[in-house]
Amino acid sequence: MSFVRSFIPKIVLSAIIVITILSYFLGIVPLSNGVSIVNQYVIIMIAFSLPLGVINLVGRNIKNIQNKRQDWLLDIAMLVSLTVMTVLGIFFGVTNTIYLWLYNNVNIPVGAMVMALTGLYIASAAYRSFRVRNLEGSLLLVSAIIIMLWNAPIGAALFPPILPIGNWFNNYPLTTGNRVIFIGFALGVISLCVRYIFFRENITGEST
Amino acid sequence: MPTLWEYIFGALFFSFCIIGMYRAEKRGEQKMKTIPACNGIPEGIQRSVEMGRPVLFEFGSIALNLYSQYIGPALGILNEVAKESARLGAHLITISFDPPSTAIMEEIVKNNYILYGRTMEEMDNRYVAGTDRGFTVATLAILEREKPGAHFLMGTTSYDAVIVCQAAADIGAFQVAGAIQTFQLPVMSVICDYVLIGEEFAVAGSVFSNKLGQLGTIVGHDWAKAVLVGLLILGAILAQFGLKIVMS
Amino acid sequence: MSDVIKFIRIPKNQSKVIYALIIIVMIFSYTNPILLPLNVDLETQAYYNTIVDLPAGKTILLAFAFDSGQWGALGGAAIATLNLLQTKNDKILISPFSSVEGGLMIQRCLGLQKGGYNALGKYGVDWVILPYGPGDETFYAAMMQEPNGMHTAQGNKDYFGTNMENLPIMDNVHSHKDIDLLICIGGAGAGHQVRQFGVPYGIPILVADIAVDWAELKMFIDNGAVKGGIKDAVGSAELEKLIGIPGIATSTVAGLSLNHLLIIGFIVVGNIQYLYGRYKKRGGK
Repeated sequence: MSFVRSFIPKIVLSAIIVITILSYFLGIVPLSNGVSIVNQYVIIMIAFSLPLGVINLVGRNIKNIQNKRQDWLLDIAMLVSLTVMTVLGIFFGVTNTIYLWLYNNVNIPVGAMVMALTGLYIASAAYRSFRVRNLEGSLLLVSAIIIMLWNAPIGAALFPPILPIGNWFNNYPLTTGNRVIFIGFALGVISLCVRYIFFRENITGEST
Repeated sequence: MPTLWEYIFGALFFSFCIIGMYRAEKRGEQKMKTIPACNGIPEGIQRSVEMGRPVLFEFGSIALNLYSQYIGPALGILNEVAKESARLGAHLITISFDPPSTAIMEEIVKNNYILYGRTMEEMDNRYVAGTDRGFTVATLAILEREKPGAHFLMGTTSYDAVIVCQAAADIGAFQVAGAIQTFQLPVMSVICDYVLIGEEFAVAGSVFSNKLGQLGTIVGHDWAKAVLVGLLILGAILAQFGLKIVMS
Repeated sequence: MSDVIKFIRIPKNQSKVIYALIIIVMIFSYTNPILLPLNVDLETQAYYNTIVDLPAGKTILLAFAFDSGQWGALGGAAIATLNLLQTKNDKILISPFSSVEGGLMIQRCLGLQKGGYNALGKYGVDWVILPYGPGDETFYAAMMQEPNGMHTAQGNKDYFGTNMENLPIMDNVHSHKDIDLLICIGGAGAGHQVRQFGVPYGIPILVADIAVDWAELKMFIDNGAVKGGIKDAVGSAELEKLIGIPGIATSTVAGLSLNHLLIIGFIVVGNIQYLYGRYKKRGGK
């Protein structure tokens, strides 16, 4: 890989990490201004990358329609809805009646439906997976039942002691487990930053 | 402004990682405990190649620029998946719902494909929708149509992990998931074959690379963890006597 | 014994039976709503108290970071928060965080709040909708930066394209120094709010999030980084109870409860089948 493609990204990344860390710890105004400028650049870059995704999506869907791949009619539906919402949003604004109607009456119910699928899958997974096979499985099963009863108001109505038991679970094992994982990962990020700063990490997929 | 203790611990933990890195490079060796999930990734790819099925890699349904600190570890793992897929001739499908991540994934897969002499036409990087719900449904569609032999879910997910992992389990895919957030950890541990939790996810890329400098920083971060555990125990003991020095 | 097991076991095409039962229970709960007593959690009470106890004339940044998938869980919390903010005499900056749909979701919630779209007061004087900015944490950091991050990060315009010079509410809002409270509805945990608002600038934070993210959010509430939290639809229903205006969340809680019981039932039935299968393998009858 050429010098420009392999080394320049590492230098840029390292410089940004060092400047950001130093601006937080030292509070030097020029460094903070530098970070502020970098933030603006990142926002601009991300905004520019949004059309990239659309180009990828449209190109692939057109290719699928041309090749009449399985369910190619759905690709046509996708392209039509993309075009309609884009044209409405750009030329008529995001507050126009049709745009808002489509959002409120199509997007929101469909989105809520997708999230509701979780409930169905959870029920199916719970039936198949939460079994008393071993100690860990049993612990998972018991804690799942306690948390589910605690979360739903009917649990407290049917079995009042579930409230203090659920609160104990919420305050101690749940928070502890999360903190452990979070702290471990935060330390992992520190070591990752050190690798980036000292050019020890692959960032563009070099396999050597 | 940061407090005095933030300066002290920040400097201390940074130094540990730097010392660990140079120590490993100077010694010329660094032993590391194996992470089972790291062995699972090449296993999954080999299994897919044998079955003639593609490999599916995704970062999850939360935008990488929302959880940008997770991008580094996930990229390290993608690098390994792309390398193994390129080497073994697997059809690697990468999907993303976030445009910046799509561009980064393409770059990583392309670099590995070039190294192993594969053509750009074989690359299959897909941007699917701009929202997590669309991404979930698109992933389900890919799982149903392409029937991958291995499914790697590396990153952060919200409510969709159970849907996607269950669907992948239904088609018999070998699954390795990596997560820092505990959002869907219980579900992933029940459904997936292997799970990289928290810091395992952070260091997996380094374990794959097997480079001394990278492994040395993992040792440094273990020393930092030891200091924290010591402080926790000390704080807990002192708190019993009403002394809240460590807590404050 | 084996006859009992055969009676309660779920047949081989399990998934369809499970889904059918769930749908039946949902329909039943909507057609025959059961009024259940709601215990208000400490975290919900803290969320409510923080808003109520905020002195008048302060500036609140109300962030909408959820999309249509989380409408059922957080829609109630968003509308209840808007209803609560109507009773206060504060300046409200509404911003779509982390979601391209945020602006549309804001429009929807404003339309559904008590008193209609303009119930928060005069637009541009008492409240304003800020535009969406890509980049998530980078965008939040840019917004908070001095001297004028709140203007420059938004491109000096509001959501509708009006110049900020023409919006009196933005005359005294420039950076982190001018934000007195952040309320975030949604947002996948509280990590980025704590990193970009709480830790660097000490801005008090309130978060309403789905139950999946509760484990992480609870961690931040416990250590004081987040002052109060709303957990999913149940927390939203508790907030609606506190403000005395029942809404979407209150109507979904009954269905939620019954489905929780149903899933527990599935787990119990599954385990009875499993244990009976093991017992039979060992030669029992």
